[in-house]
Amino acid sequence: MSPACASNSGAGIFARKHGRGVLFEGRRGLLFSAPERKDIVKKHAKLSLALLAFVALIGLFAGLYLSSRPDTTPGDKSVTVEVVHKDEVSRTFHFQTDKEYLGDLLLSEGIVKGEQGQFGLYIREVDGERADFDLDKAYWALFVGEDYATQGADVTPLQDGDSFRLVYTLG
Amino acid sequence: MVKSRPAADAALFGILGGLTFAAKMVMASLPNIEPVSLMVMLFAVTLGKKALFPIYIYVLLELALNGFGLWTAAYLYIWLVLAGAAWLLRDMQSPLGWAVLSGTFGLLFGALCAPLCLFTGGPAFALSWWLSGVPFDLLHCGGNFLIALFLFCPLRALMQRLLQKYF
Repeated sequence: MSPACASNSGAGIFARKHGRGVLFEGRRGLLFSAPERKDIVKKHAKLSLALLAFVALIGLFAGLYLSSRPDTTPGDKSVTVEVVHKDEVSRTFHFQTDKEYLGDLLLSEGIVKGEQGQFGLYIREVDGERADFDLDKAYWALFVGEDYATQGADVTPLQDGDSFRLVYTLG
Repeated sequence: MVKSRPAADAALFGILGGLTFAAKMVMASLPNIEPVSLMVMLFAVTLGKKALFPIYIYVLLELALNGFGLWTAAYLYIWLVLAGAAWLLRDMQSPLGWAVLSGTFGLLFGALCAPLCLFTGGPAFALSWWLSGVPFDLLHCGGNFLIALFLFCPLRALMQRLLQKYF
C-alpha cells in the first residue's frame, strides 16, 4: 500500500504517560492527544465500515450474477445457426451437439474464428467472412432467437431447439 | 490551485486529457484494467471544478477514436459521478479509502452504463445486459482498487507539488 496522503493516519495507537496527561503513540512514534486519538479511531471506524460495505457489494454482485446465469443442459441437443453475410446472403447450419455453450460449438465446427478478448470470445470471422471493426466498424452481431444477445457466444448456453443468428453488421 | 492564466490552463488541461487517453491506450490489452478512474480522481481533488476540462478532453478523444456508441455515450456522464464522489471525499487521506472508492466505481461501472440500454432495448434488456457484464465489473473493481491503493496518494502529492510550483 502507498503511504497515506497526509501524515497523521498512523494505525496502531499506544497509550503513554506524558507530562500532565496521557498521550497516545502511533506506529510511527507520533504522539496523539486524547481528542486526536478519538478522531483517528472515528476515521478508522468509518473506513472499516466502508470496507465492509465494499466487500458486501462485491458479494452481492457476484451472487446476483451466479444466480441469474441460465442453466446449461448436458447431453444431445439440436441447434440451428443462421449466418447472414455482408451481401445479405444467408446460410443455415443445423447441429446435433453435446456442447454446453454456443462458442464451443461454433469454434469446434470451424464456423467462427476469433480470439479471447477482455469481454470473452471476440468473433472476427464467420463462415469465411471477416468483419474488421478497425477498418469500417463492421462486426458480427449475435442474436439468440430474435433478441440481440446480451453476452458473448462463449457464455451463451445451448438448449435443445435453440436458434441463433450471426449477422454481419456495420456499426 | 490554479491562478487564472487561461493559456497555461488550456495547455495543462490538454496535456492531462491527452495523458489520460494515452495511458488508457497503453493499458488497453489488460482486461478491464484502466488508469482513467485514477486520473479522474486525481483531477477532481487537485483541480476542483476545473477537473471537467481534462476529463472532457479525454472524452472527446475517445469519441474521435471510437465514434458514438454505448460506451462513449456513457462516458459523457459516467466520469462525472466519480469526479463528484472524489471531490466530496477530497479530505480523505487513507490510500485504502481511495482504493475502496475507485473499486466501488469499477464495480458499479456496468450498472451506471445500463440506463442507456433502457433506450435501446427496455428494462429487461438493461438488466440482463448489466448482469451478464458483472464478471467484467468485478475485474474492473479489482484493477481500480489496486491501482488506487498504490498510486493515488503518491500521484496526488506529486500533482499538488507540480501545480504549486508551476501554477
